[in-house]
Amino acid sequence: MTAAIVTERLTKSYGKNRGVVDLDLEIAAGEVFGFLGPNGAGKTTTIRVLLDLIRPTSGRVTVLGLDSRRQSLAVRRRVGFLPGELSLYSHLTGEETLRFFANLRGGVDWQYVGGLVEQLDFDLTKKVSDLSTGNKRKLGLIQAFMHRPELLILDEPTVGLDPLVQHEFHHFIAEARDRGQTVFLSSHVLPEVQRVCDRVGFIREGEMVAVEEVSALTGRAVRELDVVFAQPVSPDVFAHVPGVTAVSANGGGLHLTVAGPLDATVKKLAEFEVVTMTSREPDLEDVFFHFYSGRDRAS
Amino acid sequence: MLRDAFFKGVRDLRRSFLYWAVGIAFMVILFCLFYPTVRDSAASVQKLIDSLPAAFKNVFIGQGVSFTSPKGYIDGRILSFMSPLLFLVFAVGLGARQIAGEEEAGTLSLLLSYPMSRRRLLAQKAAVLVVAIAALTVAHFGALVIGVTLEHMNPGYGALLGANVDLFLLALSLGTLSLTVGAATGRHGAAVGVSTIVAAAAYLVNALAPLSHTLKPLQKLSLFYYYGGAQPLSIGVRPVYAGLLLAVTAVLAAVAFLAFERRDVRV
Repeated sequence: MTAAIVTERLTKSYGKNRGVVDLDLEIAAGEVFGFLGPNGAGKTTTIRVLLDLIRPTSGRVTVLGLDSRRQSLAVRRRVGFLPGELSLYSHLTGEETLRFFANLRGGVDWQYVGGLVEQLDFDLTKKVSDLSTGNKRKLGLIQAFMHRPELLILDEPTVGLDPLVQHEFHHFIAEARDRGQTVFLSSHVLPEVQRVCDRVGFIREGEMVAVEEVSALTGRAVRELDVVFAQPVSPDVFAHVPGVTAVSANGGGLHLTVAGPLDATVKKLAEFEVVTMTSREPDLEDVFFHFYSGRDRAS
Repeated sequence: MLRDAFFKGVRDLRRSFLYWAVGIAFMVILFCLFYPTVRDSAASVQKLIDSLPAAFKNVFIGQGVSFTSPKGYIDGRILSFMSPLLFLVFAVGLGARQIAGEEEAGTLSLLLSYPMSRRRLLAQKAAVLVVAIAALTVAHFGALVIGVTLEHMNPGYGALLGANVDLFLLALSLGTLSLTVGAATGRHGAAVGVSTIVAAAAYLVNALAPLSHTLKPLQKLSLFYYYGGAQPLSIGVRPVYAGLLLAVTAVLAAVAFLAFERRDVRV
């Protein structure tokens, strides 16, 4: 089976900005691939090269087995795209927007579009200027899906959406996978990628840092715990608990960084009187640090 | 009506075009209705005009024409300054909106993610420009015909049509300049700015050249020189000059296609 996306030593440099550097990427047909990195890491740049909106400085890119530059029209026929900074024509209604885009493609099955509209509970009669951010994004999602493309390129599809709509989007993407569509989605939040993707590529400052199976990641997830005890507890108690990578006193309690399963930590905590405990996902930089700092030292 | 980028472009223009057409027609007819006053006091009006500084006269009224004859009046009052000004504002704004405006609004990326080549998109956008300026010219011509008929000015309908064709070609060349700067840079402000400066410079050079030895050789570089020297009715249309305006437009359009095809589209 042809790979959905292949980039070989893709480099795009802008005057001062870095863009992307020697990016190698291979995405198999039928998988949901998460392209993860902080803002400005080069995710959108890569996506825009795939669609021939910008031209690489060097390197080769094929999409669905076609050259992204010479055969761009053929590529774009088979791809659906949701831009990160989605702008639509504010004076058109939802229906007019979809009719226009459907006409540009030709051969769109309007019944299928109706199904998508129904599934997302979208109101076609409103003008785009009257839509909320979430509903605009739904309209963007429908136009990306409406011709049943083999490959979906979704640039930060859920950023800024409320959790309920995020959940709908994730469900939508999962269904696309079940139908055999390939999904390439960028994100700057790890939990989202963990929820919907099969594999994840980490990009930072224009360079691909690592590509991992999501299943392998979950076992090594890193969490930050803030625990407040009834009586003071010394940080030393937790220093040698398996999984704890850092511990420090934090006001009346402790701040713990735990990699992998929480079991040993929870059992140790149970020996004391715990008043409150909060857990949060670390930001991406922390994830990079915990996943790859050790590896760098080893190599 | 939303069949492709051309039809959408025309549809988007509906309302604003109506305002433009009605406004321009209104202005043209009003000026024509004012003609009898000028004709009936021809001697004093001509004296007043003759007393103006030459530069002022050339820039705002026209060069050495008889302001009180029907042709001279239509040239001086309508065709040499007011109509070109309004047409240029319309054409330059519209030209800048086609690619650069869409790019700055952020819709160009999504549009070009569809299976449509940049060449085709640009061709459809350019077609919107041509059709809109042509339609505005028709409204302008229609109003002139009504105006001169009402006041029995008889400048000759053929000459009137020729002057309007020239006006169309002038506006098209500057609208295309705006489209081209926008397509090459993706910047709406640059497109409007460059085109406005070129238009203003071209107008002034043509108007002031007869008074200045320095400017004289530059007159033939001015687009207005080929627009009947800004007196299309008195001087008359010359097919060679009309062809020249068209050639300028064609060259600019070719540059637009080359530049737009090669560059990166901005987010």
